Amino acid sequence: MLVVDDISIHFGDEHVLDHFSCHVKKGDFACITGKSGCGKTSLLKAFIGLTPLANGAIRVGEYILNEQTCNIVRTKTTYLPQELSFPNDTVEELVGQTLKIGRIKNVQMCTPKLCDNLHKLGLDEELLSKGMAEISGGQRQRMMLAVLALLDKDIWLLDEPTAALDETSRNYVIDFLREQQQQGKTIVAVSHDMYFVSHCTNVINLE
Amino acid sequence: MATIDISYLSLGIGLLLLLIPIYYIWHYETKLLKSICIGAVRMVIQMIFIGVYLRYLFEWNNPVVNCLWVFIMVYIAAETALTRTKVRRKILMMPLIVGFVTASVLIGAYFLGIVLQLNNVFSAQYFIPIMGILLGNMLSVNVIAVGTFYSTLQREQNLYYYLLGNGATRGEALQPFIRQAIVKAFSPAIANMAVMGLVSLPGTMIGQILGGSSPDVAIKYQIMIVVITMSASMLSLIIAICLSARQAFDGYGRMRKIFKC
Repeated sequence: MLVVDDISIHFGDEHVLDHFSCHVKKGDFACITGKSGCGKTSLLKAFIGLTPLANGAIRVGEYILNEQTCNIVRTKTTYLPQELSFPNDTVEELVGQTLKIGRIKNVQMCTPKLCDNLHKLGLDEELLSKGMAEISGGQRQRMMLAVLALLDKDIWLLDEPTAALDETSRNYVIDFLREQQQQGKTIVAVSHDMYFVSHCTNVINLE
Repeated sequence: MATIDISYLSLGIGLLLLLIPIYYIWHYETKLLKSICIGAVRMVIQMIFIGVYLRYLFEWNNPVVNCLWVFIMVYIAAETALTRTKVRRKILMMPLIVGFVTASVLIGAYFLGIVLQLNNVFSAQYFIPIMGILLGNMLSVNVIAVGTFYSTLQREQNLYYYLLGNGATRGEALQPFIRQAIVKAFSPAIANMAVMGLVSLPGTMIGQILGGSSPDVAIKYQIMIVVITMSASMLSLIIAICLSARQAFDGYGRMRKIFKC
């Protein structure tokens, strides 16, 4: 599903990755781990062409990632960065905007599914009527997963999905992602949380 | 009724009022002291020169000279916007010039040719002041909007990459940033428009009344000035952002280096 073939990532003189290869199979629950600054996020972003490669190639499904194919690849991926600030005032607006980029027109149809996702992640649907400033960082992170699941993409790229979560919330997220995996989604997450890593089926260690 | 002239001595006495803002700028250590002093000196010198230029432009009343004059104004406006926004020349200079020229030509021609129905739209008496007022407004709106657009994009690039990574086109991913830029640049103008005539009596209208026009004529001109400046500002802004975005991102949609060091 995802093949990384002999890639190097350089930022000026800093060589973050050199001649690195790995692969993630369809339906894997993969985790990219390693110490801080070893290139975990850069590798994750490279899967959607957001990190420049000094050499090598990345294949996503049937596409070799390049300027012509990156937009097609991105229609098949869900990407959640670690830190994200939203211009939206309310959660409802955010849901609307995310569904819009997913080309989902009927927002009403999605509401039951969204509520179901929120419950699975230990959240209440009352969250939907709140302002973005009223919800905590942990709630925001889980809510994003619930919303992004509506896009029903094949490949999930998540940067530290359990950062800033307590143990109970972390378990909700792990169970939710495993359920997505069982439905055939391929999940690649960056994490240095060893408990999270222990639940993954494919560990890509950059150390 | 002739307008009362202001003698140079009286003008000097009038300029003393600037001591009020200068004192508070100094007192509160705002670091704007040098800027306001240079700005005031520049304003006086530039206005003296413009008085001389305009006298000749009005005497010659030549369409080619008038157009050339407007193009010089466009170039200076683009240079000023470039300096204030600190965006790299390669990214922003041409888009600004194209935006300013297109908006001035379209909106200026609409107003002078269709609304005022002038036989000669290049008549210096109308062409030069209208282009001047359009460019002045386009400059301030573009400085605020383009600056906001690129600085917000730089600061919140995770949001841009989030939208891109979930399948948005580059245009869709840039929408929240364009929205913010428009809100910031146009909110003061919209607020001002809403209280015009109640709280504020704007410059064009005051100028015309002082120049001897009747209030009836002055208000019609003022309404049109607000409309054309707002339309030209929006048009030039959208052109500048859309064209500069072609240079600001690579083929993958990744941000290039936007700001000068």
